[in-house]
Amino acid sequence: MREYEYHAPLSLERLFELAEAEGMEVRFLAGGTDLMPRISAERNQIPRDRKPPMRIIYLGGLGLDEVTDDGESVTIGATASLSALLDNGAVRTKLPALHEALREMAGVSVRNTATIGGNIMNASPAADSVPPLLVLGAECLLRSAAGERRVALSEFFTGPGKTVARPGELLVSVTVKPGRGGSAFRKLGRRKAETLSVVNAAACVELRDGLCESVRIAVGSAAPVVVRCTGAEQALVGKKIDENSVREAGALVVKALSPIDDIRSSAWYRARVAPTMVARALLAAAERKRG
Amino acid sequence: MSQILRFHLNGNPAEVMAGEAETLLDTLREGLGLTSPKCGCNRGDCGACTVILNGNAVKSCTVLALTVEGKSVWTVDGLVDGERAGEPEGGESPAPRSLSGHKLHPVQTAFHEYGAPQCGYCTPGMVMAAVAFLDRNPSPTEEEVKDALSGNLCRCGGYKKYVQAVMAAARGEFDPLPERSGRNV
Amino acid sequence: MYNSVGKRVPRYDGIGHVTGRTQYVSDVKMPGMLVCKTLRCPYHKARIRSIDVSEARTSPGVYAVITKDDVPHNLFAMVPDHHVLAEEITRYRGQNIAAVAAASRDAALDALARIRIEYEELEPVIDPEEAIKDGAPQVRPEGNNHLFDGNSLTRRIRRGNVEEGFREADFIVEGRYTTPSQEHAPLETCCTVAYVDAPGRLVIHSKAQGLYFAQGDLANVFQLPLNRLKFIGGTIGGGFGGMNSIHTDHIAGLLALATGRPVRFALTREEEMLFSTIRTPWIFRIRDGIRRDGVITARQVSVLHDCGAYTELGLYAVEKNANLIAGANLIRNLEVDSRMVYTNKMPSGSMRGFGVNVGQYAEQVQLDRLAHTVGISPMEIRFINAFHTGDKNHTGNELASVSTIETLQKVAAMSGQTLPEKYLAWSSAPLSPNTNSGK
Repeated sequence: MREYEYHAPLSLERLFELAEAEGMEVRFLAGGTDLMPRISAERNQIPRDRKPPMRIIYLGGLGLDEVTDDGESVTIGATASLSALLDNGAVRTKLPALHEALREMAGVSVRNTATIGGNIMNASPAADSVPPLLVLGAECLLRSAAGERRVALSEFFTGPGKTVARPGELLVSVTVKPGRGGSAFRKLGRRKAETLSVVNAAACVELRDGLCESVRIAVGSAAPVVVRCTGAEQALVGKKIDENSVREAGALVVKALSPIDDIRSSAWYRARVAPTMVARALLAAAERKRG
Repeated sequence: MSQILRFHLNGNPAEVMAGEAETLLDTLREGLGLTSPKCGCNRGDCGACTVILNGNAVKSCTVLALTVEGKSVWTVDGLVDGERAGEPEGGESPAPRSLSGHKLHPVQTAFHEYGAPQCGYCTPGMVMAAVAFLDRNPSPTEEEVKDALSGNLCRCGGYKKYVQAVMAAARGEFDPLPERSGRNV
Repeated sequence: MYNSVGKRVPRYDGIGHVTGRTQYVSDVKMPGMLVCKTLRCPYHKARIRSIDVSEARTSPGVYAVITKDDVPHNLFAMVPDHHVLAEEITRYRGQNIAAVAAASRDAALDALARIRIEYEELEPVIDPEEAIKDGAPQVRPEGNNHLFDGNSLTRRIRRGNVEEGFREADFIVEGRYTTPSQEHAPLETCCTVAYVDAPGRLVIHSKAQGLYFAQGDLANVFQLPLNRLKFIGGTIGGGFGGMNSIHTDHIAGLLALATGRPVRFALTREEEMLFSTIRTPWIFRIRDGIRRDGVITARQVSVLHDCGAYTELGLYAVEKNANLIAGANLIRNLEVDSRMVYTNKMPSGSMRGFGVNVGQYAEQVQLDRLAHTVGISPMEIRFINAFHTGDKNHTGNELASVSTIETLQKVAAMSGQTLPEKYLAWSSAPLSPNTNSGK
């Protein structure tokens, strides 16, 4: 049987010491809604291969769960729970796309435990918080014993379950500059609640004189990582956001996608519903901007 | 390997050895012999293991036991009031609101009265999800109740009665909802 | 006036449920209770060339390791053809091969990792329509087809003369309908606690839905007289038919006998999903003859039931399906041919109306297509062909109390459909020349 270690450091210094562990698999634990089921499943398997000990480092004692709003940008601590963010005034008023996504993630009891940092670091292409953060221009703050660095969320994911974070590097917070745009999120799951996305989409639209000045579109669960759809974005600039223009833009979305068949849906279906989810997100975002 | 875990369980201090990778569900059931939280999936899907942690409903199979050090955990066992309810008064047989003379929480009474549990395996988790929800939102809409219970699966299909019963408990059909108690530390 | 009608009747076990005091099998704890885990076949079909459990037997914390050679009578189930632990040729992925009782889950799993087993993977057959073909890989030594009464490939129902019925018809409508597998997913997974009590009886806390079926079945497996085998049932966390089959009682019982200690065997959710009995797939072909006036003049049904690797309750499902597939319609010329085929998959269990509702899905969709073909409403076709009291059903039983028409009238009212006057006047009373015309 594999061995496990548990640590709950109270300072980052101690955390980075613990993160240097030769011959061990080091895992940061925030809420645990992804990691714990994986560990439990592993502990119920016949141990065929010798696995190195796992060192679990709990992040709950570090005070990384604060949300700060300096007027221009909103910084969300990595261990803020999804429920806490749903109740947060800055998130509700300034980041409506993220708020909509949070409302549709899992159910209450999972949202009470799960964290925004966990959702990002899990790096699932279906992570619902990622498309809104992406269209809102989010930036991640990574910290390690060597120092800290900022990485745009658009550069953060390298594949399913993979990020640019190096071993021992910790996601501390994510910063969003909401700007002047209106944003929205739409999700298609297999059910209304407690479901992972078949396809999700977020859009952020800035209007000038009723026309689209700039727009960002992101689609999840339809490629190895959440993707921006620049072709569709360009096609919308200078146009009125209406049923026709979003339908045309939706058709261009498919070029940015490479959906697969999996347990939740088929590639065929994903390619057909993604334009619809994008269109809905665009209309809602524009509507929000018009107020 | 394991470590000592100290926390508050149903308002009382608890101390137990917990494994480094052990879930709170396993610690409650195996370490402390408290079998009211049930294991349905062990992966955060079914909600049968729902308990209240620092005032929030959580799925105890997704919580690493050692992370609840110093925190407060309530299971359905802690809802039954310590006070004796007294013998029912004569006349119309009152709604059963007691377990060996101990008072039930109005959510429990409502679930029982509305016949919501069938096999009952999801019930302790449903109770805790509903209690945590009503502590925050004592006069909910039906849609809000559905949302609050959406993480709790009932394979017998008793959802409708569970929702009706939570609404009944909220409008005080049995006993008034208690003040937010020690569950919300 | 009534004690119960129109009143809330509290369940006798309701207080236990809402207070968390109800004890389910998975809550039963005994001092010194051992944990059972099993080694399951990783292939759909394989030959076990060799199996060596000697290292597992000496693994720390292990009290017993058993394989087929340790089972007094290695067959169980309603049709006792299911192996408790796999014989030389395994028949489905996840089939139990060996079982361990150990002091902890970790010790049990470690021991399973020390079982040395040499497999030869064999070609399986998964698709039921492939499995009935000549030359298909054989699931069982006696072949893939179940032989009814020892010699017939099909369970047959015959009434009237379908050829005449088809000649009488204005239209022929053919349909093919399929249903997939379905898992019961009771919230409490299969679980057993077994021990030998002071007087020497084997006691089994069981989730079985039919305790006495299980007792008789397992007395044979254990080769124990019934008075040495005590089953304790009670509240279970859902069954939905899945607990009509034995999943853990047999192996837990064998290990309790082998160790003299209490043994708990609980499936994980994953095991329950992948390896327990399920509602297995069906394929229906229905060919109907229908007159312009909506009367079904002939029906030919061919059914293929994918039973998985062992009979379990598949045979019972086929019997029920064959008897009811023609629906609540008086069809004077009928042929039903039901086949059951074995494939390298988990076996067919019972599940909520097994055999019946899958057939009714096919039959009801077919009825709608018939109505569409002759240009009448889906309601009308059901009225026109409905059984009446006194009719003989498709297996020759006289129907004593029929309410199809009254049910349809009620359904129409509840769903806001306006029925033509004449159908409102109909009833299911025995048919006479003066009532429901058209037949």
